[in-house]
Amino acid sequence: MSHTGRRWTANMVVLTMATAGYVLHHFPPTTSSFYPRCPVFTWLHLYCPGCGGTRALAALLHGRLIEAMHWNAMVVLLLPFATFYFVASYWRAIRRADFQWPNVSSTSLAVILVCVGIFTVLRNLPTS
Amino acid sequence: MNYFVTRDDQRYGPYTLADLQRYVSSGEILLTDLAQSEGMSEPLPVSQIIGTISVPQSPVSVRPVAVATAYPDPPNLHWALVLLFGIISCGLFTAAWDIVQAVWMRQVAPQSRALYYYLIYAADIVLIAILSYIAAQHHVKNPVISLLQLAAYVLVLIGRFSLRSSLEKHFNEAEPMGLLLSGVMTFFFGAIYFQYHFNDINRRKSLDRVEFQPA
Repeated sequence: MSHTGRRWTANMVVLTMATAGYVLHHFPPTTSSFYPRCPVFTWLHLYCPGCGGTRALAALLHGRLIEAMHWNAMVVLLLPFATFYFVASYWRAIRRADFQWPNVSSTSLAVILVCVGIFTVLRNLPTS
Repeated sequence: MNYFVTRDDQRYGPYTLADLQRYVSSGEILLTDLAQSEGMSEPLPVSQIIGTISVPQSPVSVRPVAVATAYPDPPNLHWALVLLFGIISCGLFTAAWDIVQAVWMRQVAPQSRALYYYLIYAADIVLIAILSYIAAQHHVKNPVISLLQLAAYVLVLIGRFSLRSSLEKHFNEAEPMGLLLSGVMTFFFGAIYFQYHFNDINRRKSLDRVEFQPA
């Protein structure tokens, strides 16, 4: 992809995310029922690691951190890292002629994936 | 045990013995390259490390030099990041990444149809959201939405298997890398599974470039 094409794509991604944020802010999933249901929960009645993520993001957009943590703590905790990675990627896409995704060490990714696995197990344990 | 391969003062690895055998058989690592494991005091030629273990010769070893750079590389975001971003974005990122992979596939194999299926899938998702919004406003249940949801699952599966077919064809004919993709993994993990192989293919292509760099 040419540098111009990549810049255009990167800006379109930002625009799409801003639009999604606007929709999520004005139509939160707690009051709007048009958001798709998680297929894992619908079919298996188990919480996947992303279940509650949309509600958590909507709560964050309204500045309600505690509520967001209640819906999906993992999404809230990973969001700063994801945002940092996205900003670094966007900067590279805009500035550099030869685009490479920023590197994340395999060890860090393995640790995060293990944490996601533990989180998924814990949130599906029966509560007394 | 893991080995590091040294060539022209550049260090690559770590590789397992099986990796070494595979890369020797594909011609990406030469028998004359030097390799060293954690427990070895001196590096040894790869030929001495793999020793008498037979190295099957595959058609890959006669791959023309130009193939390594003739096609654009697959998208190279780490597969674990595709998984994590998919979780954080409630699956939207994975759906977008499906399209990114299919766009790349169209660049290297214009006859691939996976992109069409994924685009129809994306349009279907948007339609579901719109109809769900209208149904929620009028407090009614629209049976068409369930049908469209079923169609979405079918479309994404058709897209995955179409992409799998195009990938296997491309990486066994145009760029012979001996790629074989599991049907079960394709069914359950789609873009994440393909991305795992893209990461591996990019690693091998980058080794090729090092090997074929003019002196």
